[in-house]
Amino acid sequence: MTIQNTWGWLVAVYLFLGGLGAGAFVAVAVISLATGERFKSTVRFGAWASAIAIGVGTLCLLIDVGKPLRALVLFRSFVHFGSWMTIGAWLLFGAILFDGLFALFWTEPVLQWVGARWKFPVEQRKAFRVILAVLGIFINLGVAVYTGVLLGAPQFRPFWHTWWLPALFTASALDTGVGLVTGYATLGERSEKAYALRNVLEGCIIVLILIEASVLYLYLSHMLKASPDAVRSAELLTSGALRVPFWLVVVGLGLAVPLIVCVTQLGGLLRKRAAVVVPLIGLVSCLIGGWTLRYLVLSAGLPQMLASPALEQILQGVKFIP
Amino acid sequence: MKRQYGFYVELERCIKCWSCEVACKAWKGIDAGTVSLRRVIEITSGEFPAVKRTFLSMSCMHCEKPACEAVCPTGAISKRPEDGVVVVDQTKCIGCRYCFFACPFGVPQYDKTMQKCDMCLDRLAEGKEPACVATCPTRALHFGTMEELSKIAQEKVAKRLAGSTQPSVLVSK
Repeated sequence: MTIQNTWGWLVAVYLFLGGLGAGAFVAVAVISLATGERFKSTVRFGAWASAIAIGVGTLCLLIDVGKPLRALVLFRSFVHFGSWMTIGAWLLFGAILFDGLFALFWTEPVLQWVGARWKFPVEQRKAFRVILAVLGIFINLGVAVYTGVLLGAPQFRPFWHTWWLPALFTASALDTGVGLVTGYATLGERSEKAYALRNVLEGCIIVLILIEASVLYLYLSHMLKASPDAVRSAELLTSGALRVPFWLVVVGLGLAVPLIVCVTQLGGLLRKRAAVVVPLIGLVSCLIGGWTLRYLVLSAGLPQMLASPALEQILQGVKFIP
Repeated sequence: MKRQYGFYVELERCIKCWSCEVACKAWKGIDAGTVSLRRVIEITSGEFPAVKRTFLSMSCMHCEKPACEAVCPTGAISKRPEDGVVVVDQTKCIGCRYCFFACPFGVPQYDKTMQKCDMCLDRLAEGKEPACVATCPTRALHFGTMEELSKIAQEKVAKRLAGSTQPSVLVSK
């Protein structure tokens, strides 16, 4: 049995962090647009988390390529706009910029410092926040979708070459991002209405997990009926060499545990007794599941078999599991 | 029609001696244990007692519609209009490996940047054949324009390698 390892765990970290950051930004941007300054510490946390997550994810991509310094000079290296990777590189650059700016506009000491030194209209921060939030939602959704499109573009990897993949990664991005923001709202938000915010967010996570589980089911059942190469890939996850991490970590830790945690939290069953530990378990479990999903989908991306198994064996990047 | 260089591989002549692989590595000065721009593979078919072994020498197919070129983010991969050779500009490649995933034959190989056959452009400029073709002891490998190769192949039962990217390679068996 073979797995794909030309793109390994570092690329999986990027796919995960890119999605996590994008999801967290969308969550706090919506919260800020809907509630203004009521939950400013949650919004500030989410904004910084998204900028840092996408930044670190991009760093992982840079470390993974052979010539990181050359790749860093975006305007000289990423010039072929017919390639999805070029579009993605500029999207990531835009997201880091927008998420970072949005975070700065929610960090009062920084605003005061800037306002004191330059004649910057600090008092118009509300308008800037709204503009950055609205534009940022589009850019960050673009980043979330792009993580799937990057893998989906090459035609000869049938397990990746489908629109189900961006759909799955986007659902997971929103799920993990909202999860991270909920984690902060539970542990760090001091607003009187924090309780209401948590309830709304936990409701959102339940819906997102159900969407993600449905997309995952539809994606795999579609692949199990597609070309023989797609079937080989899908079977790696459902019944092959990767079945244990898939069922235990992706489905168990990534979907089932957070779902149970959110339902029990929302039901108020455990709220009084374990208000911190249980949501934390749900969050960590959801994040581990999110990364593992990316790693396993990467590993299962086998090439289309062309002439014979022998021809496939010479394709580099395929290692043999004894 | 513009010129398109290609390879013609006569499978029944190949004896899997790896001379082409070695000649390629020697001419290109490739370190041992790294990449192979040309590779000889063995395909077994049939069942005992009617088992058949076929040997195929493979390099970049210099496709008419290169999938690698389409996905390259930096524009490092290009198809030369004058002779159809697909080349990697080593000063532009960032080594992201996206072309490896795009190529239906998994041809581009990673060694900090992406490496693949350039049909020995330096030898072509001197009027010589690529190192692999010049070395092949059984004359299983041919090099030329696709028109020239088609003429040679007409006498045999040769076929152009299939694929949506239109590889510039003929194979006879």
